[in-house]
Amino acid sequence: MTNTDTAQWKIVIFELNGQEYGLEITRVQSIERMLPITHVPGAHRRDIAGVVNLRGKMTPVIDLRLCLGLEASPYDKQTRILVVDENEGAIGLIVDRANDLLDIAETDIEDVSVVRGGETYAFGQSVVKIEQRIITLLETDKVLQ
Amino acid sequence: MARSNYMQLFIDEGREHVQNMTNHLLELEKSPGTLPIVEEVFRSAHTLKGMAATMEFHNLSELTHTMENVLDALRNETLAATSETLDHVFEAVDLVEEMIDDVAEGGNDNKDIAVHLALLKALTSDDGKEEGAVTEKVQSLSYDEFEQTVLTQSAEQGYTPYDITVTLDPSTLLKAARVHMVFNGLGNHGEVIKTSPPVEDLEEENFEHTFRLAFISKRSIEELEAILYKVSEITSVRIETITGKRMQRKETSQEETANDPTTFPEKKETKRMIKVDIERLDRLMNLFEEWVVDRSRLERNAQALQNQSLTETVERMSRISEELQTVILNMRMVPVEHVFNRFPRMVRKVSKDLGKKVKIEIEGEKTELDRSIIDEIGDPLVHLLRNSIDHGIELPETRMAAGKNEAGTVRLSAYHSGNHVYIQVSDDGAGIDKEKLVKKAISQSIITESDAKTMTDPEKYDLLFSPGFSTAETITDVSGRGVGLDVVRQTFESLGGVVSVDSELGKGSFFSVQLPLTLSIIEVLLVQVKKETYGIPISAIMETAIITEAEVRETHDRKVMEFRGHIIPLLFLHDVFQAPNTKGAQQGGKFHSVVIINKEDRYVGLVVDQFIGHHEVVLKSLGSFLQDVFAISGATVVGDGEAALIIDTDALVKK
Repeated sequence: MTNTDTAQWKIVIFELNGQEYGLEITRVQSIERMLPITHVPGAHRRDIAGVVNLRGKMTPVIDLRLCLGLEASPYDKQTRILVVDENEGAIGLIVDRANDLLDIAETDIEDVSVVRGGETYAFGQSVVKIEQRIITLLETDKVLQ
Repeated sequence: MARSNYMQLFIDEGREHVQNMTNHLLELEKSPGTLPIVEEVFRSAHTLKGMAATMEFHNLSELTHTMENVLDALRNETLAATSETLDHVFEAVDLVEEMIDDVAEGGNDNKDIAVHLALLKALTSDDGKEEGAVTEKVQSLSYDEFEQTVLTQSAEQGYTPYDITVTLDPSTLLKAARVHMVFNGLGNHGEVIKTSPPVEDLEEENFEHTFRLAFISKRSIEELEAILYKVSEITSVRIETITGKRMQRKETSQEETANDPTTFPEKKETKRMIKVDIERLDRLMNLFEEWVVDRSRLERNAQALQNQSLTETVERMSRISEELQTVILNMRMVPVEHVFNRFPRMVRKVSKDLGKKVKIEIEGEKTELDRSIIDEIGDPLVHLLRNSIDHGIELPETRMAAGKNEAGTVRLSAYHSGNHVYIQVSDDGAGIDKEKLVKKAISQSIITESDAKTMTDPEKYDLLFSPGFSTAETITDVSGRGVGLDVVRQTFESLGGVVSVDSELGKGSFFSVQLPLTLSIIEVLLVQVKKETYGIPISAIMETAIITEAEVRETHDRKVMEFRGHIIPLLFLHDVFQAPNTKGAQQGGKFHSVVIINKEDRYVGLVVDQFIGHHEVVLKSLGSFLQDVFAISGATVVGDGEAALIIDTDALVKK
């Protein structure tokens, strides 16, 4: 990523286990309240929560907590499904809550490995520090790989 | 140029014209010298030529133009419609089709057409006059047979054919623009049949100041004059009605039309169609289902509220939505003729290549199938037909020697029965020698000698579909019979189809394919497994039963039950699917609900917690991210809008 200009990014901010994460808004198709999930037996990944009926389309949903190696937690009223549109079709990501939209300058984005040294962020590609908030930017390609 | 806007139209119409030419050429071959048939082919070639020129496909336009010359010679009867002549025309049609296919795939019409052009030209070369016949006469309007037919037919339908001469002011700068305005003005009131000079010349301003049009309309001469004089810089308009082969002014017809109260041009009688992207239909269906889900919520609310008028409204909505569903589903149905149409030409070609005489009979081409299935069955059917001609039908001499008709018959038929469509390919050829099949299969280690002893006839014929069967290098009357047939079966089975074959040695063979009417609607038995709802396709269910704990027996650690005197395995679905909340599984229950499913003659009992009921559901794919989930073929929306998985019973029986 080149830091030569001050391109603005719009980032959807969501929370997982008390930490803030961000997804570029162009990747997010919609943010849904929790929907009834149908368990899919024998799915190839253990973080697949199942499928939901999203306006007539069967949409697989991934529990992002499990995906990022966090502890599972029961879904509540704040739980949201971020629907991202990937090559394989729409996929839902279950997050603890999603309630913010931030404009960040590309120059604010830093590489996580530089900032955090050895700490592992399996899927975080980079972080943004805005005032006191540290937001890990999520690269959906890697999450869904 | 907005060429791309018209590309799809060009491709679709181009294919229709290719089909039209093929059909009529085949007819022509049966009854040579039938002029109306030649006219039909000519018309298509002519239209194609025009379309190709507009789209700047010069090779295509040149090829069709040369075809046109040959067809022109045919209809002028300076050339006989012999099988050889038609071969060249057929080949040209093939090439045209290839070009259109290329264009459809984003390519262009870059094909080597020189050979075909030479062959076609050779057909007409001994008659130099024919070359001149197609070059347009500039000065006066003369009508070829086709145009005359159009003129007379339009007169019969109440249109008046007019010969219109328009003269522009000599100082007009943009003559082509005036021409456009004339065409635009007339376009709303009838149809231009022909122009002199030809339209291309008019567009390129290759004319002095005067041009003529043959025009059919229901308007009167005065009305047309008024329309034309609105175009600026037109100095004179002369309109005459055309009668018979000559042109003369006929006042009476003008009065007739003037008094005719229905002076608005009527639309042509053809069925009006629009083409819709299948994805849009899918979207419509998805939205509609959402609507149905909301409807059932509304129904429940209405019931709870006990409001008379609300209940009535909701009931009416339900009825309408049922009709709507039928309409939407029917929109996806397409007659199989879309696929069948291409076969006669293919059969003709294959049989010629093989030196065999083959008639193809087609039945039930109006039978309708879901569009998504139609798109898939073309190739496997080609395979079956080729197989019949290649391996079934004998050479003419062999047939004569066997006391059969010299020409073999391949019959392709489709019919509708229940929730299925059957497509059958049969031939009156040599049939399949099942014992040879068995020997072959043993030699290829597909089966063992002992297997062979217990095999039934259908099982023996079934060997044809074994993967890798009979790809032997030596061509015997059996080898080759099975080449690729495993792929054919796979394709059909992936569509939910069932393929079977039967044969009588010396009399012919018979392939039957059973296909679901639509991929998207299936009948299922909804069952409950712990908290989850699953659908089991009715087509796979033999029966349902409630058995007691005591009837569950064990052999080799496997649970089994007795069914019609056989011992069949029992699969507890909550184990198979590791359904959530299975911790307390098998507690208490004295009875088990069992769904007995079968695949061919193998049976399995699926143990579920509860039967919910029989439903017709829309099958939806789980998408590519969740591909290949074991024993799940898709999902559907049930009840309050939740997803329920549909079980792929075949996968369970194999296990």
